[in-house]
Amino acid sequence: MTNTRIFALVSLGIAGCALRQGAVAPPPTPAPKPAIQQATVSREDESAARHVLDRFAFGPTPGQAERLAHDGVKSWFLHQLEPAKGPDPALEAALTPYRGALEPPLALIERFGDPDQMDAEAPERPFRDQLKGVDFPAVLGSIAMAELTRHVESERQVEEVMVDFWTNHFNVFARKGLVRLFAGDYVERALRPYALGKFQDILIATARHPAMLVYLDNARSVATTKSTKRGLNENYARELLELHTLGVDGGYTQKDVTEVARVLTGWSVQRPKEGDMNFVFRERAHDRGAKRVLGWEFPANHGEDEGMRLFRLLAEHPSTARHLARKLCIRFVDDEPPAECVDTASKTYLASQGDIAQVLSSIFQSASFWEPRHRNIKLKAPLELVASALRAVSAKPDGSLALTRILAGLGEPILLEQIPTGYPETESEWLGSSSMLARMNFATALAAEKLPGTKVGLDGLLPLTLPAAELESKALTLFLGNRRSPETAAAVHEAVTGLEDGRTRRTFVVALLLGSPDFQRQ
Amino acid sequence: MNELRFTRRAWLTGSALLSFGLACPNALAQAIEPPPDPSRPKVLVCLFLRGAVDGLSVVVPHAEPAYYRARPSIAISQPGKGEHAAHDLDGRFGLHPRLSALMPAWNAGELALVHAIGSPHPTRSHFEAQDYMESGTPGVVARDGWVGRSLALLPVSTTDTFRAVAFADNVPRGMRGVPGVLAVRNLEALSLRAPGPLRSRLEQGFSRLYGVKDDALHRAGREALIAIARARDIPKPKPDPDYPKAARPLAEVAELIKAGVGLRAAWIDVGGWDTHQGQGNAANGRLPGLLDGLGRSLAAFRRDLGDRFADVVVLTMSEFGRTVRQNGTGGTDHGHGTAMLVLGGSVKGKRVYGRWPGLEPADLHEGRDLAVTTDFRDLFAELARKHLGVESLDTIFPGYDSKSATSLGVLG
Repeated sequence: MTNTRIFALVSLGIAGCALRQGAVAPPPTPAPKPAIQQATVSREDESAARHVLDRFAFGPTPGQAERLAHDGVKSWFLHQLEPAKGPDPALEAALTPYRGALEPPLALIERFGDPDQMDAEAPERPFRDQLKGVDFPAVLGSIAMAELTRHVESERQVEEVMVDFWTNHFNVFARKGLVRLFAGDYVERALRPYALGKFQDILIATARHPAMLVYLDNARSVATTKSTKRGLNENYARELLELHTLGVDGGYTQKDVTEVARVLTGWSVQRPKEGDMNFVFRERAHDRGAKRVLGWEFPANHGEDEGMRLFRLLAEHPSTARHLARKLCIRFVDDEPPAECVDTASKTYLASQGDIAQVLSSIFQSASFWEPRHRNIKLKAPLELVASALRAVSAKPDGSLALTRILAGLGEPILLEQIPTGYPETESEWLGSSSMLARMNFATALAAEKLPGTKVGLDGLLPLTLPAAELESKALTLFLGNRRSPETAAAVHEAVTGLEDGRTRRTFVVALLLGSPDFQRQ
Repeated sequence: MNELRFTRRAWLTGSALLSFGLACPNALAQAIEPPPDPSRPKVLVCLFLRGAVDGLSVVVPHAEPAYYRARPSIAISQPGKGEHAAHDLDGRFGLHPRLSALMPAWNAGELALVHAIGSPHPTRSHFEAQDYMESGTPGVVARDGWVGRSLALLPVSTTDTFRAVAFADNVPRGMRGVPGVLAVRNLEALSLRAPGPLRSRLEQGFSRLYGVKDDALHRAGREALIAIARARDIPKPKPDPDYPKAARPLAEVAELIKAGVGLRAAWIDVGGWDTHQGQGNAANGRLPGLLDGLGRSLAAFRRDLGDRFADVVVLTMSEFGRTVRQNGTGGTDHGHGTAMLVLGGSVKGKRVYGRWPGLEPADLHEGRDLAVTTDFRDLFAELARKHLGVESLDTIFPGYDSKSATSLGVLG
C-alpha cells in the first residue's frame, strides 16, 4: 500500500522513460503532502529513504535517512542525477593530502620521484631510472584514499556509487607495469566525469586512456605483417566485447574479436620522449585493410575513425543495453536481478541512446526496486562496508594511508583487482568465515575509535553521559533505523548488561551493531 | 577392477547402504579399498615461493658446462669442489648446499624434485604467472584456484572448520573455489581483537547476533566464531629451535595436523625470491639465506610430524624460473622453466623427475631461459588425483587434457 504511494509519487515527477535526452527533468515542485506527513515521518518513508541511501549512496550519515524521509527521496534522487558542478570546499580539503597522486603521469613522477633520479644536471636520464625513484606504494595508496575519501564525504553520492561501479566494470589493475602511472588520472578523468553521462562517452574515454591501453595490452597491438615480429594482441578486443559492452552471450564470435583487434591496432600511448604519455594513434601500427565486425563493414584506410565508429556501434547494440541493464539491476536491486528491472532498464537505455542517468532513474522507478523483499538483502562489498560504517559514525580518513591496509585486509583494495572482471558484486563471492572475522574486527576497532587512519568523534553522536538504555536505543536508531530486529536489540542489550564503564559500553554497542548481520547488508 | 575404483565418497555411500542392512556381495567387498582413516586425512601443503625462485640454484645441473659458463660468479660448485659445493643427487643434478637439511629426506626417499617444470604460457609478469599457476589455467585467470576447486569435489565435512587454511591476509586465488577457507596471518590472529576480559563477552554478543537465522551470512559469521573458539584449543607451537622464526606458519600447520581438526589443504606464501641483484652463490648473497630457511623449515616440519608425515605432501611452487645467464648486477632476471620440490611420506622420492632440456644456446626457451618440458598441471593434477583423491580433473584444470598427459609418477 505504502509502496504504491511511493511509486506513484515517483512517477509523478518522472514520466516513465520519457525523460528528454541529455537532461534529467528538474525536480518538480513537491506534490502536496497530507498535513500529517509534515509533522511525522512514517515507518515506510523512513524505510524507503534508508533503502535509497543504502543503494544509491554509501549508506546514510547520522540523521540523513530521517531528513530524506521528510523531504522526499525522489527530489534527493533527482538532484543527485544532476549534481551541482560547483566546488565542494569540505571535500576538497579532505582530498588535499592525496591529490598529488591524481596527477597525470609526468607530474606524478615529479612529485613522487626521487630527487636524485631527477637530477636537473642530467635531464637526459633514462625514463626507466626516473621510474625507479618513484614511491609507487605512496602513489597507489594515495589514489585509493582519494577514492575512499570521495565515497565517504562527497555530497554527490550517486555519482560516487557509479564511479565504484565503473571502476569495476572498466577494471584496471594498478600494479601492472605502467598502469601505476595512470591509475589516478584514469579514475579522475576517464571515469568520474562520465559516471552519469552517456555510456558511449565513458566507453570511449576508457578505450583511449593509457591505463586501459596498457592494462589490456592494446598499446602493444600492431598489425600483423611479415616484417615485424610483434603482431595483434586480442586482450582488449575480447574484454571489450565480453565485459565492457555486449556481454559473454552477446552474440559475437572469435572472428569478431580478431576483427575488433584489427580495427584498434594503432591505438596506443605516447612514449615519454613523444609527449606527455597521452593517447596516440600510430598510423604505422594500424591495419589498413577492410574489416567486418558483427556484420558491420569497415572499409579500408579509415584509420582512427574506424575505432570511434566501432565504439558508437557497440554502445548502441541491444546486447550492450541488456548486459549493462542486468549488471545495474544486480548492483541496485538484487543479486538475482528481477526481469522487470532488467527489461525496463534495457528499454530505457535504448530509448535514451545509453543515457546512464535515465537508466538509473528507470531502475529507481521500477516496481522491483521498492519491493520489501529486495530491501536490506544485498551483502555490502568490503568497500561499501567501510564507506558506510565511516559515514554512519561520522568518521573521516585522517590524511594517512592506513585505511588502505584495512580495505586490503577485508579483501577489496581499490584498483588492485588483477582480473578484468573487477571485484564481484554478488554475496557468494564475498562471504567466508575469515572475511566475517575481519568485518567484526573492523567494527570493533572503529567503535573503540582505534581504527588506524580514521578520525572518529563518537562523543558527538553518542555522548558518554547517556543513560544505558538511551544509548542502546539511540545507537539502534542511528545505525539500523527502523529495520532493527528485536533479536538484534536483545543481543546488544544482553551483551552490555552489567558493563559499568560508559566508554566500554558504548564501544560494545557500536561494535556489535556495525558488526551485526543487519549492518553487513544494504 | 578399474571400473570399481572407489572414491571415499563412494565408500561412504557404500557404508551407508550397509548400515541400512543391505547385503554386500563378496566381489564388491573385495573391490572396496580400505577406507581412509578419518582421523588421518591426506593433507596438501602448498608453499608458494613468490617472486620466482631460481630453480637452477635449487637443483643444480652440475654436469652442464653451459651452466658454469653462463654464471661466472653465482653458479653453485660441482659436488666435491670446495666447502660450498652442491650435494650430488644422481650424477647429473645437485641440491643447493644450503638445502642440506633436506638431504635426510632425500636419502629416505621422501623428497622428489621436478625440473624444467612451468607454464605453457610465456609470460614473465609475476602477477600474471602467479595467477595462472594458482588458477591452474595457463593464459586465463580464473576467479578461483586448483586447490580450492579440488577441495570442493571432496566429501569434506563442512563442520571441519580448519579443512582449508591459508596463511595470508586474504584467501589466495589458488585456494578459492570452496567455501570456508580460513585466511589468517597466524592462528593467534584468529581472534576478536578486544582487551582480554572483554573479548569473550564480545564473542558471545556476536554469537547471539549471528545465531538467529540460517542464511549464508549468518552461517559464515557463526563459522568465524567457531573457528575462533576452536583455535584456542589447538596447542600453540612450542618454541622449537629447529624451526627458523619465519617458519611459524609451517609449525602451525603441523599443530593443525596433529590436532586432528580435519585439515586437508594449507597454503603458505613465502616471499623474497626475486633476486635481480646480489643473488649470490652458496656462501653469500640473498638466495643462500632464503634457501637455508626453507630447507631447515621443511626438515623441522618433517621431523615434527613424525609418522603423520605419511599423510602429507608438501609442494613448493613458484611462478617461473630465472634467466640462465647471470645479469650485470650479480643476479638473474625473469625466466621460464624452474624446479619444484615435492616432499612427503608417500612420495616416490630420491629422484629428479622431468625431461631435462639442456642449457646449450639451442636448447633454451627464447634463447635465454630453461625450457619448460613439464606442464605444471601434470604435477598438480597428479597431486589432486593421487593424494587428495579427486576424480574429475576436467573441472579442476579446464582445457587440460589430463588423459593424454604423461603421469610423472611422483606419487607412484
